[in-house]
Amino acid sequence: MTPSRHENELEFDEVSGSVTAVLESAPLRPFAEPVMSFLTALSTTIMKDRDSRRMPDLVSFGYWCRRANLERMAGRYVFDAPVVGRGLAFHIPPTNVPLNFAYSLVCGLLSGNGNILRMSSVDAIEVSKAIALIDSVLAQKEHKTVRDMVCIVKYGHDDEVSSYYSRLANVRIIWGGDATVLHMRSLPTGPRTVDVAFADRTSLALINAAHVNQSAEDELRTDAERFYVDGYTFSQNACSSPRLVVWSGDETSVADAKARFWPAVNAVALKRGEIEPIHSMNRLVELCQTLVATNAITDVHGIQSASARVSISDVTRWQEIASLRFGTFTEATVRDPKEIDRLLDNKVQTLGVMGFGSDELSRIAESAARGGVDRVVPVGTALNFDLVWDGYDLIRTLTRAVSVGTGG
Amino acid sequence: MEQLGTSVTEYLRTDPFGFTTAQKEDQFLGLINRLTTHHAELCTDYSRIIGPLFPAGMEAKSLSEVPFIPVRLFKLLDLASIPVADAVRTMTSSGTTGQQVSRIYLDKETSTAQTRALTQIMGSVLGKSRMPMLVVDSSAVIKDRAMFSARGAGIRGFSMFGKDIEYAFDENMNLRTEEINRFLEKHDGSPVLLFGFTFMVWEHLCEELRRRGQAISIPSGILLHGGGWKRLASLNISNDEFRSAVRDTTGVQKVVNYYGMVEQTGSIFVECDEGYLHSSSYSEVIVRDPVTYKLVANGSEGVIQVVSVLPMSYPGHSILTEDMGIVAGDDDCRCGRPGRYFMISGRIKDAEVRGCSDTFAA
Repeated sequence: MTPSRHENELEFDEVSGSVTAVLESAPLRPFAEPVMSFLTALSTTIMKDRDSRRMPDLVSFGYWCRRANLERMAGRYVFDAPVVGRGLAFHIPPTNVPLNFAYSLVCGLLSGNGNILRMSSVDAIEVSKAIALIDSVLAQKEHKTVRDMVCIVKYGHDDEVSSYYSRLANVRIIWGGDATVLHMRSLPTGPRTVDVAFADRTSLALINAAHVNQSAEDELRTDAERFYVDGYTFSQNACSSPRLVVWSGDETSVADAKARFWPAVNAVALKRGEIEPIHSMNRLVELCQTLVATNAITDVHGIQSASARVSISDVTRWQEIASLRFGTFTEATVRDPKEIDRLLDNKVQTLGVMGFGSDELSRIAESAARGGVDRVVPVGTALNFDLVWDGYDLIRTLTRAVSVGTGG
Repeated sequence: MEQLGTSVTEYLRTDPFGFTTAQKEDQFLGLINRLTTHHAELCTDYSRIIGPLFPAGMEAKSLSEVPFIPVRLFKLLDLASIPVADAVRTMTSSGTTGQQVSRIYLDKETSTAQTRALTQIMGSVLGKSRMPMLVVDSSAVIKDRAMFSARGAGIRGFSMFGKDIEYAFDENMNLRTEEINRFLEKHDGSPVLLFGFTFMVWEHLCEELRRRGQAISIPSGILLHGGGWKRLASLNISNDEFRSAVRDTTGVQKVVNYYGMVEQTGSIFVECDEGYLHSSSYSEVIVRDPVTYKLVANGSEGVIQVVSVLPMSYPGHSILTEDMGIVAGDDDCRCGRPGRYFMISGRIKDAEVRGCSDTFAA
């Protein structure tokens, strides 16, 4: 780490890269080869690294930026006019999803921008490891172009520093929810600065009861594992983590499905052994606090298991208790999956779906999109990052489309 | 309420170590169920919590079915079954500055019951006669009446069992060697009760004597200590090391640990000569799986639940602690006491909560 740098009396640490170099770098086209080959090399480095093998989040990131996936993502874009990065992207990643900063950086790079990332801490072990590996690849001489497009700075809650970068930035990528977004919006920016702002969102899953009832044991187990990944990663604390489970089917069928599904989820959760005593304790404490604070909850099942299931009197109020975490799921039933729209609004980000045929799925997706949802994905992939996120096509938002007249 | 109070008082006449685990459950469960009903009627927050969580909770058929609430709630909510303004005393846990502390509201009845239970339990350990007492702490702790902290309350509560009380430290926690020696000379040879919090005994008595290269000699002393192993565990100091450090520096042969908490003052668990903590007739420990809260078999580690007949003015009669422990057995401890005996193995580990929000909170 370089020592503290004082620029116009501002105090921050350059953890990686140089601000000056980034300010002088020229924007690239999306998916430009220098970026693609840097990310390919980064992916390989992460996957080969001895320490990173013990960090599943880092391995997922490394796998995500492998060449084949980059090519696949690039293949979705056809530009019929010249398109270039907006210039300087200023990122404000959240601190409590440790590797979010890395995904944010990749979006900035793939769209051809120079990047300044604000970290309030680089203490998390995955973060310091990721930065070390990024540095090691950037240091290679064939990645000189990309080296000048990346600078990671660390500073506390210093509005002067944030304002300085906000004025310079062509685009700001603000994570961290409503409070952070509104705070950053209160700071002056350049007149043409564009914000990509990720507000507080919440998510849900829709499960076809008939599918659960008909599935064989091994299929049930796979489904339970998929649900576990969505419902328990990051202690159910991510925007994409499902808080509400909506069962589709008639009363008997739903009751049967619950009786099969939840024991299977519990078995997976306990077998994985990732739930710590403090998670269960926090789950119980937050549940008790919520029971005192609201009269919405009518029943709670499963507090003596790895998943608590909550019933509420008026299921359209499910978002009022959506702050419950650590394996707490509100449950609702719909007879027809299309009825899901009455549970949705534009605070809902991701709808995970399980057990529907493709025709039904397109009807659900249409209904969900109208209801405000930005993502409809199979259960098990709710937390998988994509270049289209939270309703933004990040490549298109972080680039400038140039219209070229034919003179005709 | 009066009836319940009378029944609790009546129950506290029983021998503190006179029941087998099964006999106690028989005697005790009715009172515990009455406490659950009592608190559900008088404490709205409690009723809103246990209603959905334990629908059949008021008629528990065994102790393990009794509703429990997490101990942290006493830091987050004002839980009382009396009007808070009517409390004769509000006890707080001794958190460090900036930490949230538990607030426990006591009425006369509960406070009296706590004293009675403690007297019964300690009487069985120390005998009936009062011993000269050396408090291994500073008198400044109890002088500050504004904050009735757990440390002050503990010293005050246990002072009932001593006479001619002397404090081992000055207000800056420095060892008062002269006063201690004068105290020991005065009571030369007669049994002396030493009382203090485990960490204070370790840091300011044993370690301080070692640093000074000094030792004192109280072979007829009994050291009663409690307050938790959290800080000693962080220094990797075991109960055995603690005991031998006490013996080496003070000559005290009998070292008795107790397990208790401000949320259940009075019904403490006392260590026997075999090194196990024992449930008295007035309370019970239950060990649960720390993730699923299902009961675990004796011998397995889990999170500790404590059930006590004493709390009448606040809903603390059945609490899930954040301590981990192991029930060693029932009724067959080699010390001869019937009932349940157990060990505390530590606290549940705190963990970082991750998620999308709060960039600026970090």
